Amino acid sequence: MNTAIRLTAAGLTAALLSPLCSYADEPRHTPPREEVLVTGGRDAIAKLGGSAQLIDEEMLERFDFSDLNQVMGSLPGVYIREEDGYGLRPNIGIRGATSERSQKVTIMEDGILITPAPYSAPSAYYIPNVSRISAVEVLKGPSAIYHGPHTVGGAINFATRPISETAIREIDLTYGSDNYQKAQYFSSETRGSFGYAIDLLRYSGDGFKELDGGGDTGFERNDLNVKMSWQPDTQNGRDHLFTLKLGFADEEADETYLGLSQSDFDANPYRRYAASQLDAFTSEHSQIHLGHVFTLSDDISVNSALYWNQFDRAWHKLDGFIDGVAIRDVLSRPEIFTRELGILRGEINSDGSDAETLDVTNNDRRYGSMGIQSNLSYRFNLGSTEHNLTTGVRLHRDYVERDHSISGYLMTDGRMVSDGQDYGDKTLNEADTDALAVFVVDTISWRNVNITAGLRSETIDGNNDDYLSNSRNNKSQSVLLPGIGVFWQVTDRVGLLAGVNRGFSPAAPSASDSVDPEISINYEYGLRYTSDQLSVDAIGFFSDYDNLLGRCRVSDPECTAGEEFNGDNVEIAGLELTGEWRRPVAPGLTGLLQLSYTYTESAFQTDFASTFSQWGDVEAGDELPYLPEHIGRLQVGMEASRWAAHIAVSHQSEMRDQAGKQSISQVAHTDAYTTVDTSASWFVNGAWTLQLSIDNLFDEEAVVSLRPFGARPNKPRTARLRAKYSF
Amino acid sequence: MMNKIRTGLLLAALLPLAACVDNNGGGSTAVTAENFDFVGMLANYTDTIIVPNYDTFAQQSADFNADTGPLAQYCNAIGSADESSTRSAAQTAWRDAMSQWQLTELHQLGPVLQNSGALRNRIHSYSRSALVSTCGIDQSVVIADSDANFSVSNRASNQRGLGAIEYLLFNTNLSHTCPDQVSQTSDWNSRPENERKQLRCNYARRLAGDVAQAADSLASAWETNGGNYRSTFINPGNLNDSLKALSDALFYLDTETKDSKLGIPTGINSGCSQRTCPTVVESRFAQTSLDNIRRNLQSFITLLKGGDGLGFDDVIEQAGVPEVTDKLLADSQLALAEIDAMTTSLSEQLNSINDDASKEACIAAAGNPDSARTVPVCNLYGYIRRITDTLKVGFVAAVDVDLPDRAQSDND
Repeated sequence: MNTAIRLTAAGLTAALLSPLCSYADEPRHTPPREEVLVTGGRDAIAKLGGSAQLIDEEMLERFDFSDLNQVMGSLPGVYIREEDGYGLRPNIGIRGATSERSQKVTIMEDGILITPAPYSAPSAYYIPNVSRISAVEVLKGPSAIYHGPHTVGGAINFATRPISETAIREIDLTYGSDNYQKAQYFSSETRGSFGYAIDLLRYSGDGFKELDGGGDTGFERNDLNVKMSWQPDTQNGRDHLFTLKLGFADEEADETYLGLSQSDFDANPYRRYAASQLDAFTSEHSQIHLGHVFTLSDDISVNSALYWNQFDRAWHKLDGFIDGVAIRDVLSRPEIFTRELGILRGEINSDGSDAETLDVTNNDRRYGSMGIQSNLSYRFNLGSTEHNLTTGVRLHRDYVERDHSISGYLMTDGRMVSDGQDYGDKTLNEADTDALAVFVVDTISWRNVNITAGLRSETIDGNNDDYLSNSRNNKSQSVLLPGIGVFWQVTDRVGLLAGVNRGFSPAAPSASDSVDPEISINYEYGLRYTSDQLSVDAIGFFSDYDNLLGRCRVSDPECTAGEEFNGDNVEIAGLELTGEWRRPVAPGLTGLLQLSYTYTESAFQTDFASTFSQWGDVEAGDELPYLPEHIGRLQVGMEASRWAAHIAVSHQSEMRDQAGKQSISQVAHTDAYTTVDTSASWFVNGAWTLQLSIDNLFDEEAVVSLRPFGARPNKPRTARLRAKYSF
Repeated sequence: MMNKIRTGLLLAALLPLAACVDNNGGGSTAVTAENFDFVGMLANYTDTIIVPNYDTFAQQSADFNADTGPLAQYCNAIGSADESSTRSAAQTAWRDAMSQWQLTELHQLGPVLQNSGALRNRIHSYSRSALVSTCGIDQSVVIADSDANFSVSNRASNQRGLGAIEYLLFNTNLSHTCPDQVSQTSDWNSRPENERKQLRCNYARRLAGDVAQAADSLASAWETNGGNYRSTFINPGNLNDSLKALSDALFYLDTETKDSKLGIPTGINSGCSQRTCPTVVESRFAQTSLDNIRRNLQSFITLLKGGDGLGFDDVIEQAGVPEVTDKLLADSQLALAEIDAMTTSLSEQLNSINDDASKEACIAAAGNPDSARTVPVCNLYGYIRRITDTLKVGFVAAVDVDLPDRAQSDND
């Protein structure tokens, strides 16, 4: 590790901890609670000098989605790209930052970086299961400077269920279409100084796709989590809360990158070609998080954590032909590459040549992420201004080891038969990163104005060893990221906000010297209206990228996995609109209306040629790929004491498959589609809840992505029946 | 007052809420894979021109070689009353096959060039540096008859293929062309006439079999269910290489049609050190040299236009210079019209270049093909040079490819 980072980290940690002793004589204060939210909750968001949203447990319960994409789809400024229909590996973007594998978003669990290697390999192949999450927070604009390293779009925090003060036991069972099964057991209570929470989750499904020749297309996930807390007696007016969280999750999924040609999609969108019959994803995720909340007074607290995450995954999947036409090209021009398509379908036997031998690569990777972080919050008054100063430091290390080995298979009478040849490795490398992040943010309240001003620093040292080319690459990056946001409560109901911050997303350790980190200046401004029954946020945003980064995935042709590309200047702008109306419509009956809408436009500002297939040859004015112009969701609900019913209509407009400015109808694009989700809940008594949910009620069929390989469908109409028992 | 200020601020905040990006710029006319369907174009060339041409030739050469085909019938009829008619039928079949092959000469890429052009050399090895070896063929005729271990595959390419068959089938002079010291042909001229006809015909059949086999291999190499070079050629991952290969292939019109088939025989090209070089004329025994050139030109037009589908003409049009295609087509039509107007063969016309004045007139006609037609093939050379000049400048610029090495300079 860089010596400067070590010294700075040690110094900052000491600086954060040492002055706390001076508050020994402060009066008794509120006992500390486990910190799972990073925004401070809904009330804090309402006065935040930057935009943020919160989906709380009640909202999550309404539909009991297990697909994170469906959850995130209700948030403005958040873009999702479906892939497998179950959200096993979500693609989430914020304010134009690419949604691909959620690589440009800082993703946390209870405020701790949770993706496998957020610096060295930011593609989020692991994200917590939604079913064990009690709230989702999204921070954008200046709000995002609290959390890094990716601040171009924003940050997402998944808050797990906190340890309960009182005893809670829940058994939650769901059965649905395609043999979807979910079983969850949650138990939590606090006894004296000790508390615990056990969350056991298993869910699975047979999948909705039909493999040519038969075979599994489903998945199975297990997720075991234990939290323990210890809150020793108050000593000298100070409180401590120690929390230990242990987690283990695994997955087996018969998932593939292989999609369909358009004509085959039109005939049966849920078909899966025979050439994907061996595709399988397996993973194991382990985590140990040790938290400490040190509350010295009502005004001063220190929230620290030690964390260690390990993620091992192997994705054995079709990656093309050993030396033939790329699958994307086969599926985009099936009328030309008839023989190759026949082989993928299992209708034509491979002739043994490399051009017809299927390349099934085992993308084996091992990730690690560990670190220590500490945040100090200090509230004080200065003249007529109230200050809430928060400063934090995080010393982080992560790594990725990639070993992608190739096997050759011959399609023979619809089955894939190994050709027995040794093709060696496609990728064999290791990358690691040491990073020191420091931030200082002061929220200043003066009369009806809240000003949030802060500065974030990221110092990053990365190394990449490529064992195939016997080359080593070092990448050092250091950046200061200022941000300021202002919220003015103009009237009791109306507030205005504006903010600007510098966005950043680091280049990977493997990036060449010519690749710059992603840097942007993000502006936002808007208004908030809040009354007893209605709340509306309308926020415009403008992101001026000095350099947009494109990152190659294994499925991208003509580049190597992890390779990065400069996209130069890019502008992204849009409007986020959210609204919630809630009022009694009859005695004991409450009506609910929720709206979320995002309009986005984007444009490259320079001409350049790129071998990154999603960009290609770019001209100034070209729009970014996979960024919908319109995305929105309208939810209507009725809630009574014994029952609740909700219906949500979601719409997403077309997305172009490659950067360009031609009319989207003239180029490869995904479909615009509108889906309707419904749920009805019956609160039988204090213990039992029954819920029937139907996703995609009208069975809308749409191409939701043309990547990695070919057209992929959204999830068809599925139904779930849930029984939840609390005792 | 305060409320008015607040209202004004609210409105000011609302109006520009949805910011805008600067989406002006671009406007480049460059033809790229993103704005032109090159894959579709290559597929069109493959499926409607290249593969059908090879398939047709494979079928013709198979028919020519069949046990009941025209060549076999001629061999069987030697010495009989049907000898003349069957020989004529065999010659017609040969002309048809050669005519078809000449179409393929303009798309020499992929399998036909692999292994140093092995398949092409088995079918038709003609080039300025590989003229038919009549003596070698004469020797092969004798050895094939006397040596049970004789194999066509061991013979040099200038003793095989359509050119060798042409010599055996069209040359009416039955005497050998070897020096006296060549032992294999020492008693040839003393053999009975029908025996010599028979032996030549028998060897022609061996060669026809070899040509048919090579033609089948070539067609199969492109077939989707064969070698499937089609996929390699169309593969978007090979787009630049394939486009360059297809473009390079058109320059056959420059290096072979213009220079080897016209420039050197007429002495316009520096490759001929004498006034004229009639022995390097292609298909000089069948006297189909001009037909070969006609087919080359027809093939060039087809390849330029991509037949009825996407072709280079569409690339050129998208590049904004359709006049390049117009000029290429106009000059091609002038060249074809020049051939159609000819009443004598190329070899016969060469005979009229017999002094310095006629040579100078020929060179002048080549420089200005619209001038007087003393020796029309010289004017033809001029028209074809106009085409190739446009190819070397306007075409390569519009299609954005480099000139092939072999067409970098002229030798005239």
